[in-house]
Amino acid sequence: MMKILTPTLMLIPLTWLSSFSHLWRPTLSYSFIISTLSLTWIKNMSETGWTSLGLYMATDTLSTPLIILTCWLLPLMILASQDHMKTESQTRQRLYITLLIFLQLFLISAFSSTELIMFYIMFEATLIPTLMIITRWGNQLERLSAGTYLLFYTLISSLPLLVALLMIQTNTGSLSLTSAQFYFSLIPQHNFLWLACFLAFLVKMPLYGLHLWLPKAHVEAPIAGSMILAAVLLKLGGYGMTRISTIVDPISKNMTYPFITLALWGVIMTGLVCLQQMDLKSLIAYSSVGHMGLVVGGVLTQTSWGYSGALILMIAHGLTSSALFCLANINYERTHSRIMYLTRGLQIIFPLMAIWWLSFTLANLALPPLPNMMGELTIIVCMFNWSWWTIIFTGLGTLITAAYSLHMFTTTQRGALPPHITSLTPMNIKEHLLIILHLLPLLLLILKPEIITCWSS
Amino acid sequence: MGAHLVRRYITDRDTEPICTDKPSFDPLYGFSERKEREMVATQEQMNMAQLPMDLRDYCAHYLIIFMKCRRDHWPNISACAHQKHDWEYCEHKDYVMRMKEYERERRLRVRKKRIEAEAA
Amino acid sequence: MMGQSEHIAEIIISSLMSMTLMLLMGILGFPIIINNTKYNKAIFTMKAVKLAFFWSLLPAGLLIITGTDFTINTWEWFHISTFTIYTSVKIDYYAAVFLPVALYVTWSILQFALWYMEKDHNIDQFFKYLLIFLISMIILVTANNLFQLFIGWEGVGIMSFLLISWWFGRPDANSAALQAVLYNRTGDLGLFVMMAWTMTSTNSWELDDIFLHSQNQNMTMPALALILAAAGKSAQFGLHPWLPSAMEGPTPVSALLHSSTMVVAGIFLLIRFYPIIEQSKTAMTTCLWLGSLTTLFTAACALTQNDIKKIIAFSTSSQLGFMMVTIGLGQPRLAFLHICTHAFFKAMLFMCSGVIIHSLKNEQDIRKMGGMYFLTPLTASCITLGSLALTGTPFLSGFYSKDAIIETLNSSHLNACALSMTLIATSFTAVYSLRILYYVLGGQPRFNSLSPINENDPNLNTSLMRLAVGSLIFGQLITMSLPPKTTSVLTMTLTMKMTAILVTLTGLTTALLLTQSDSLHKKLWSHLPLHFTTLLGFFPLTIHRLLPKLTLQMGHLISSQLIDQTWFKLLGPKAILKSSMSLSKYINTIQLGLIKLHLMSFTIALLTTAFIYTIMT
Repeated sequence: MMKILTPTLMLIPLTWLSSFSHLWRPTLSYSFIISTLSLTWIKNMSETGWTSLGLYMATDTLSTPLIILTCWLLPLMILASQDHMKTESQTRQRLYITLLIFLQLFLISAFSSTELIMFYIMFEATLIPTLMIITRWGNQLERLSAGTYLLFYTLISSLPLLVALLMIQTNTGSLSLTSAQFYFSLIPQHNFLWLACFLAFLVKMPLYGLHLWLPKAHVEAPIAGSMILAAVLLKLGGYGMTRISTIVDPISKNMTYPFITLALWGVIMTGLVCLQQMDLKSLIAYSSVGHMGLVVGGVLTQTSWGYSGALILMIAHGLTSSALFCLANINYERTHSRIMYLTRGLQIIFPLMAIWWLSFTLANLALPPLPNMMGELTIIVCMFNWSWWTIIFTGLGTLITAAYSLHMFTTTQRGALPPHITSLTPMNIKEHLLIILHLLPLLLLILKPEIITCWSS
Repeated sequence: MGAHLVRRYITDRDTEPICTDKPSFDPLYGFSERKEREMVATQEQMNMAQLPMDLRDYCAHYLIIFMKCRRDHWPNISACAHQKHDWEYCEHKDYVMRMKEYERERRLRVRKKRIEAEAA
Repeated sequence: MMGQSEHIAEIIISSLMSMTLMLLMGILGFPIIINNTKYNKAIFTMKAVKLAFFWSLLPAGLLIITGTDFTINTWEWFHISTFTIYTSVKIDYYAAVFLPVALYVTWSILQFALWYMEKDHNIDQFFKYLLIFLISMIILVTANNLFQLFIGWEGVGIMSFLLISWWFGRPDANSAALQAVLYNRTGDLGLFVMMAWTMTSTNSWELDDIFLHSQNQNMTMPALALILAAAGKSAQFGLHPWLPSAMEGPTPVSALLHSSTMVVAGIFLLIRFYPIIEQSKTAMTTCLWLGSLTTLFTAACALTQNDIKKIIAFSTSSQLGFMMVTIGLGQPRLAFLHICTHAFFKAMLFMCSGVIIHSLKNEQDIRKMGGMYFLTPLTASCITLGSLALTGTPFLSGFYSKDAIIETLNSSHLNACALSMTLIATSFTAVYSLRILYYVLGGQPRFNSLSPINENDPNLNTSLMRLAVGSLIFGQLITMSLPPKTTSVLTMTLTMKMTAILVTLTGLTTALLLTQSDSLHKKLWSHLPLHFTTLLGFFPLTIHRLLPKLTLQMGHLISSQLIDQTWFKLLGPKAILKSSMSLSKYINTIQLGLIKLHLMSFTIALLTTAFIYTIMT
């Protein structure tokens, strides 16, 4: 564990001590090395499920993909933010990178901690750098209200979790995940306990109805903030739900009904919002809510298919939506507008970028055999198994997803170029690299999806 | 194409037999010297020839000859016209017989109904 | 000993099969991967497909000799808990015959595209797209696994999107492409249901397992789901409007995707899953009705169209309905035969229309053509041949499938109404074919005098003639060479035997007589039927306007404005804001620094506490 955490910590002195002209390159390459190192965890040698076991930290097949995703995202964020940070002062650039590093630190600790209370602390700690990134480096004035929304939605909902955890601690004397099966029977099973444990994660996902903070945060955040938010922070919710659902059970199965209903209804409603959305970033954000709705549904069915599907979809969606935000940002940096109807017909100017747009549109609408499809299909199948009425919602959801994804692609890339778009700076290699690095893992995962599927409780 | 359907659904709803059902009268009724049809090809032969399930009927022995001819004369696809004709002719006779059986069933039903009506 | 040697032979043949398929994929994948500017990539791609065609004759030949199906399990792809997904390939009768047919047609169309797309800057990319499409189609056809089938299924759908919107500057092309994907996705819901159902009921996505475990179960739901999937892909009634709109794409695309390969994927799915469809009476009746409705409606629409490509597109739609009827009749193999024969002449018809459109400077209206019989003799011959084959003229390739289907239809005991609708549609085939020939080939030229009419390009000539040869002999060839799997209908009266031809001739003579009376300017009794068919049954007017409008309005008014921006905001953040604001205002009024008030409240509090304390103790 320390193999990754220590280098991540050491990134901070690197950021502050290296000379300014060499600020970005070493951090980038260093963080790439870290993410390469993290890949070693894919090989799970242990038979009990836990590897790299330390006193408080360990990884298993559920957390490994998410940790690797976190490590993978840091260099990509650095790569993506380089351009729009150019105008900032030295200290602020260094601070920005430091915040990103802290975020990675907290996220890795959250995903790998075996103590629930440590997970809780890290879960909350991620809020601080995120909040700073959004409220300091966002573009519009609305960033302040977005920050408030983010903070209060997640904070209010996670306080019950703290109470619940303390209650479990007093009843059982332990909050360790590794020994959960031994004290499982001592936990008082109660609907309110279940609700308290899940609410924090449902807001973080976010569940439809509790999602207002997400589009705001996404729209106002700078590119790195959007990326990490879509790719990893939302997945904290899914991860937490999967973990905690093995520990607390609702007394009645009926308890999950309203949440699954909301999640499925949300898939359709957010899809409809996306269909008429003009703001590119907001569209991608709402599409995240829809996809996360599927994840919520998958996890709440509490079947191994549901868990597998949720994990696959989380990883695939993390890469896809992060890449879509990057693409939206690349557009934004050139046209200075997020309105889709003002940035049309870009294929003529950036043919190669049109390919990237196409790839990620297809990933977003879940084209087989991309992992997005595997995830969605697994969840759809498991929901169908749970109750076959759900196919109406999941099916309609995929239809609407296809509609708005292709609508997004057609509007931004196809058609004639509007006359007001002139003299755009060409794409540079860095941006291509950024997108390719999102695409590659997605494509490679097709060959060996088991890396992200084989978790079962 | 529709004559039997008209009878089936409109005019003779009670007597018209359903074509997927089995005959309900004694096969020897009125044909005292009629013998049961014999299956020429054995199960083993048909297995060896790898005949599809649908084609394992009373004409299978012709089909086996035809298939063998096809394999022997490959790739000359027009070589086995006679064998094919033999098989198809057999199938034709089979079809005619089935149609006759159907008609017999229908008439017997009509007759039975008439007799019952007279008796009543 | 005998058994052992047979066993060895089987192993050898099956490994030969897998090797063939792998090499086939290699041949086809190669032009996509290489990026050497030394070669002309378009020609290279065409040659690769040609090579692949000859190579694919091997499995077909092996199948003809041995008559056995092959299933090749290659690789455990991944597990989801206890469920394993394999990649497995099936080369059976359908795959082995369809592969050469598809490759042959694609080869010709690619060669045609060399001529047609000559001026396009992105011709290499165009060829790559077509090739990727072809590979997805092969994946679909050879899949022995629902997941793999789904990959091919979605692959062809997406390639269709990209190819329809090839000229992406045109808004029409973009909306047509979007339409195609959305209708296809609607159909995909069926496939989702099917996958979910098989997972829950048979716990496997392998076709053989599904068929094995699905005995003695109620198959109505999966069968109907499959029909929905097929209806989306094959543009059956209700989900049909995308096919004529798809004609916005370049003509080679129409020829390859929207007539011969992609659109038949739906029918192919039903043929593949026939053992499931068969078990549900409801599903069979649905097939029959859906098919007959489609074939009649689209044939009627084809009658009044004036765009040459639209006529052929509707004719394709009508033939797809015809295949659906055949499945409803319980004859999947005949439907498959019709897929194969149809591919040849329909691709050829599209190519001919492409030649004519090109020659007349992108004129697509048949009223502005005429006299092409003398100007483009080869194309004229091919278009005549294609039309004759389409109407089922004896001994052309269309005859072998169409005639057999109509004979089966005549001797079946199924719903007479649906069957007569199919027969009427068959007679319409002759009418719209005649209409194309009459307007395009006959009469006086009605176009501008300076049209670049030229059909001397060798690429064009060879590709047209190749398909013409296919339309001439393929039916005969295939019926003679393939081993029989079901007994065909052999016994019927003369009139029944002649129905197909009689019906066609009736249509033809009626149309001819009407054409003559048309020159007398007789007044039609009403314009409603005309409007009904020219406006495609008012379908696009109603559904295409109403449904998106409703959805978008719902998205805007209800999901976005009402729920998101009003209720959720009001109930969550705003409510808290309001309550805490009033509270803090109230407290604020106390905290104004009025010392008397403070002391007062302090005293009251003290007194109250003391009072309570004394009472309590």
